[in-house]
Amino acid sequence: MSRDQCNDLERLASLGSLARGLAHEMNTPLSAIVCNNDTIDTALRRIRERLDNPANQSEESFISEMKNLLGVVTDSLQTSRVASDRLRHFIRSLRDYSRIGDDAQSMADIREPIEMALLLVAHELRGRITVVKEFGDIPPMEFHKTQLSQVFLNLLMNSAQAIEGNGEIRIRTWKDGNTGYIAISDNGPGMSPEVQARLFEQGFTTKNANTGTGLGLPICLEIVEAHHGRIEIRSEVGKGATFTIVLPLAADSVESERTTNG
Amino acid sequence: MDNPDYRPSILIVDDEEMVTSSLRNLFRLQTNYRTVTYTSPMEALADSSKDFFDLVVSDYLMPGMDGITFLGRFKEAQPQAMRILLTGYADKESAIRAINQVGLYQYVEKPWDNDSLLMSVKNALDKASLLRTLDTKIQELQAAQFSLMDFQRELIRTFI
Repeated sequence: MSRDQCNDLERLASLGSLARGLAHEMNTPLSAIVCNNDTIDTALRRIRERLDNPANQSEESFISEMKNLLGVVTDSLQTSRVASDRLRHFIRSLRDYSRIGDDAQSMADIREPIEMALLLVAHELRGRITVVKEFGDIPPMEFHKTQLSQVFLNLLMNSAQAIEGNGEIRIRTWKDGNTGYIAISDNGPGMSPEVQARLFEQGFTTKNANTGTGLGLPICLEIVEAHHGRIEIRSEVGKGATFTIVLPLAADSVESERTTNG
Repeated sequence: MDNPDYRPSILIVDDEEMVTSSLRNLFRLQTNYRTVTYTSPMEALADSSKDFFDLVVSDYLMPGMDGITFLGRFKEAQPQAMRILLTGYADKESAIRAINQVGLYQYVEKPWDNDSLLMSVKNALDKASLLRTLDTKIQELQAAQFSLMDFQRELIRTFI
């Protein structure tokens, strides 16, 4: 099996374990749409009834009733639009993430794969883990969007599973010269040097058989190395963990910045 | 409701604004209820001394505080308010536990059916109204009993 096929399989497997949460996450906008459709239907029926059989009411009260009904329709449509946008965005991320084979490298904002991963793990974090984003300026760079979102999803899931009870995940991005940094930190229990030394071994896992395959981090490393980057780990027992993805920025973006800076 | 002019108050708490506004629109169209919505359970609790509610509808999974904890705390502030929990399918077991834990009137699964939600809310409000009437009657009976006892004491003083 090729490296890419292996990545694809791991990515699809991670979606499988998220399926329950993904369904739950789509249920909220769906609930809003179902509720609003019914509300709009009832309001329109009432408007039609009033127009067909004008009751013995003054023009003033008729107009005020119509305005109220139309107000309900407008507000419900607006809410449904927000909910539909959320669903569309969600489904697009899901489709991009589960794409097999045709993840061409392209110039993009590194925040895109981070946001995609965050959307897909939202349910695992919701209610328990606060996500703090500190996105510094990184110019657009060349990368495989699906592959990097796989890396971020893996790291976010690892952090979420490490944190017992409530906690915080901090995502920072910054650049230093010709290098971009994406650091994902959690305030979970941290790792001993022995565990850290084995993190990228295939099949090594500290999780139970249902949640960990031991393939996540080795694949993350492969993907990052294929992007000519590296993964740095900083962790102490009791003091959380930080995984930093270090990626070279495309030469032309550095060039353009030099030009901008004069 | 005993008094047809009575306008029940409903508190709706869900971290998703799309849910609170959907419910607000539904109640605005179908009922005369006064609705107040919050997207943060902590803020709803902080304001719980400012306003009186007949019923609280709360989401289960919210950042900072889950719906069961929220309803439990709200019960301490306003024990008379009926409590309904909105849950996703995955939270069903927690919802069932909450029925005993916080004295839940009912849990409603998302996506809900508008008619059955309206019916549940109406039934909960009827129950709240009955409990209030019962409470008033008990107080009246107690007052009557006290005045009877006073009268009895006076009778004894007068004739014995």
